[in-house]
Amino acid sequence: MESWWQCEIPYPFVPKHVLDAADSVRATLPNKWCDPKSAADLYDEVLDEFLLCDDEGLNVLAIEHHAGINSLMGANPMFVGILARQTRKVRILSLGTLVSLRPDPVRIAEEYATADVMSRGRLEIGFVKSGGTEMASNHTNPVGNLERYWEAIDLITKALSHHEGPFSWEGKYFTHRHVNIWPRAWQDPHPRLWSATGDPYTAAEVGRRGMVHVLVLRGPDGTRRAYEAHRRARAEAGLPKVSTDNFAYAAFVYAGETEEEGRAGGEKLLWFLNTSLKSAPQLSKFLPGTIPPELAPQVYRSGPPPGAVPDMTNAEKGVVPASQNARRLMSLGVDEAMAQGILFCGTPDSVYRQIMEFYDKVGGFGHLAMIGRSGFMTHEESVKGIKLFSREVAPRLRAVGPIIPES
Amino acid sequence: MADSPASAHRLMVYDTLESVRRGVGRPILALHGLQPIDPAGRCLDLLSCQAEVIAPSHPGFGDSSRPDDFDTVYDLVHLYLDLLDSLPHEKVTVLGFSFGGWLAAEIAAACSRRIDKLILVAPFGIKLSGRETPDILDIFNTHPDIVRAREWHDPDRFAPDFNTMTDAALVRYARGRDALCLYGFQPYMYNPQLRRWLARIAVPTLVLWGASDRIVTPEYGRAYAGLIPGARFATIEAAGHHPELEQPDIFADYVTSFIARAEQ
Repeated sequence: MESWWQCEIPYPFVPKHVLDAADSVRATLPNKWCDPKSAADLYDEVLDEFLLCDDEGLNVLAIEHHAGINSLMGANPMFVGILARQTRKVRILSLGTLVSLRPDPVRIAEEYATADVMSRGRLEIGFVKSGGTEMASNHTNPVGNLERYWEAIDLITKALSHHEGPFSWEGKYFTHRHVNIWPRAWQDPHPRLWSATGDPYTAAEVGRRGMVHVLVLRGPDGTRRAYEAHRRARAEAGLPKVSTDNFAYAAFVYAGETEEEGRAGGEKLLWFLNTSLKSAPQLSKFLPGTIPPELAPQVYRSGPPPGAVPDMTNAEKGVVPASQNARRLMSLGVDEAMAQGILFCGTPDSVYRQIMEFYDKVGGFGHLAMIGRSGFMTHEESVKGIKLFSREVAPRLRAVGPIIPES
Repeated sequence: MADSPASAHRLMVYDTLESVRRGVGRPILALHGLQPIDPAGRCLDLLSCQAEVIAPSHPGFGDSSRPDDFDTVYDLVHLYLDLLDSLPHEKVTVLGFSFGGWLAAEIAAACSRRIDKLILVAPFGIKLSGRETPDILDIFNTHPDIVRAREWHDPDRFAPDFNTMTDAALVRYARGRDALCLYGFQPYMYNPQLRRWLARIAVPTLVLWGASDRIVTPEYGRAYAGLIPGARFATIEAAGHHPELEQPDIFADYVTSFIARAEQ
């Protein structure tokens, strides 16, 4: 199993009374609350932590979120460019610039090809579907997002792998009369592709395409179901079985010297859930296109209708809308987060054990995307966590090689 | 004509639409907006005493299916131009509400020959203010409490209550929101070209507005009417964006007397 370290670079310094009064801490919070000096310090610290990962042999991962306290990484390609030049050894995963929100996928392909060449073939390209606040910040129609997502991926993939001069693209969402990027990508035909999704329909398509399938904070049940949908879709399409190397899981991870220190680190990471997910209803549950209309009765009401019985259809199908998942996550404490498999923390032995317990529950995975710093965790604490994890946990995980599960 | 390609296409799209037809007399094609046309509502009762009301749900709204490649106002306008051509009546009154008012204005600007009168109720569709002043409240990017307060004169009495709506009604509501967002997202609820072409509308036109409408204000309506040659403009007190729902009797009086007067 490979480990990938990440910090979303949240901005935790907005006064609590401001956050409490805001109906959303993403997309709509005025940027007067973001002090450029504090932001610069955060960038310095986290970029140094990424470079420490390079020294320690821990792969790095850069995400993208826009206009909120949860992340100052709105411009993912800039981080990928810095990492491509300043790291020297480890692999770099962009997870990823939000392709369905950007008007020209050809520019994205150009950025990725540039980073792949700068890093001499160490880039991996991840795709993320985007949430409601991202739609608002990027002026994107939330209806049709998924179709646009796949078309963007198709165009990026072709732009990266086509080497014989200009080609033309007249798709439903994107048109480009002349595609011919320079440089071409270092890796042939293109860097490995990842996709993050929890819903079984998208999971099936990720499976058919053979992308690395990453689940973010979905816990064992949702993760296992999504992996199963991925494998089932491949089997139904007559495609060969894939190994655990095609599966990834993203969770909060902090290793300390003692159980207490590890848990204290874990608790700091949960700031992300407890503080930075708050999103206004028009940017989440009422945003068009985010849930199938059939789920509206479960999502739109503020309480159950009179005489209603619990409806488990949703849970059984594994179709938990991201907005519902977010609401569930916002109130978690350390023990609960650990029990739900979204936080692995404690001593290195304990962290390794928790990861492998989760591994067994979901049928195995080949990549751990670890959120190692968040909220008010200090640079020093983050550095300590990176060193302990990379020295005490990562080597043991690396020994867990890819397998093709029996069923 | 029955075997022509155009008529075959018409059958494919229009026949899939859920549609209310009620009453006898001169036909009114009613194009809904943010709220559906309630088959059990008083507005329809009143209008159908005077006319045959044909009220389809646009593709994607209510129970109307939407073909995959049917996703623009252009498609909707051509669907209803097609429908006007297919109706047995030589001329039809077109009544459009809100988003449906935008469609009605587009249809009338494109082709007035099948229309005898045009009634626009708080129509969307044009851009009037400067680039930093939206004319039409973005209902997808505004807190639902604010939308509710600005949509209705008396929200406690008239606004939909998700907690008491049936499952089926909520599914219809959500389908409609998705469809509206698909059709009207960019630019938000207007066609930059339409303002110029409103002058082509060559039929008697009435523009009605709820005096309390803060989704799009009566001032916008007055300017809109001013761009349509000869159009009358009137406001209805104690009504927001849906005067047909909040003041159905006064609304129906306006409509029926306009039709009668225009006939003279």
